[in-house]
Amino acid sequence: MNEFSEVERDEIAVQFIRVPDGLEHIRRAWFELEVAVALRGRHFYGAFDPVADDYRACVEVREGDRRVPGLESGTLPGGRFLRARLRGYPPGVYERIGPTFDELTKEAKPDQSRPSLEYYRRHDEIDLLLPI
Amino acid sequence: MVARAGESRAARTEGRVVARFNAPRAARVEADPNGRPLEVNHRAVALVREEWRVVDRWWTEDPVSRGYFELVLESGENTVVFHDGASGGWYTQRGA
Repeated sequence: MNEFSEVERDEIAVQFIRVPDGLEHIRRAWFELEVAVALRGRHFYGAFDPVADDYRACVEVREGDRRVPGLESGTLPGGRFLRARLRGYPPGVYERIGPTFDELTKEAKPDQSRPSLEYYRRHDEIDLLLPI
Repeated sequence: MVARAGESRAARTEGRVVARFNAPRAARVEADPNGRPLEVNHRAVALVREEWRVVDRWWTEDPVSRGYFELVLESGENTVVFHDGASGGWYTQRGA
């Protein structure tokens, strides 16, 4: 059973790789992103667009960062989210992402105007963020 | 209170100046079949220094999808143009 908490987040500037939905595509996106940018000290996010049916593997842009060729630029929305924190090692922890989002949507009515986000805090810790 | 009001006015004025300076302006761009600019406002492009794509606000009813190009014109001037996916138009953001 996960514990949920409400959090307020700022909008985040990101660069990202966009792929069609599907495990194989998503794995490829993360692999390509991790090759393109240095991992250490970076914050990574995942975002799914249900309208276009695509997934974005994102890295936060910090002041002074240069644009990485081949990556697209944009932002991820801020606002109020219901958060579940997953702890565990890949790949097992990834399999809990879908079911935990299902639990979050039972707990609160999602704000359909913003996407749900995955925030990869550490290699063994992921925040799942449902917009509310 | 007076000083604060003055500061606020100054900030608003500065904001307007900055907004005007950076405001995109419609441009006449000839592009190659791959969409890379060859001419900007009848001036030939000497070099494409950098290109990047901005895809933002995709979760809203007003999404942004723009292809940006940082260019050097044959005159030696640097400029940035973008192709807006929503309107299909070209715009300059500085120079040109």
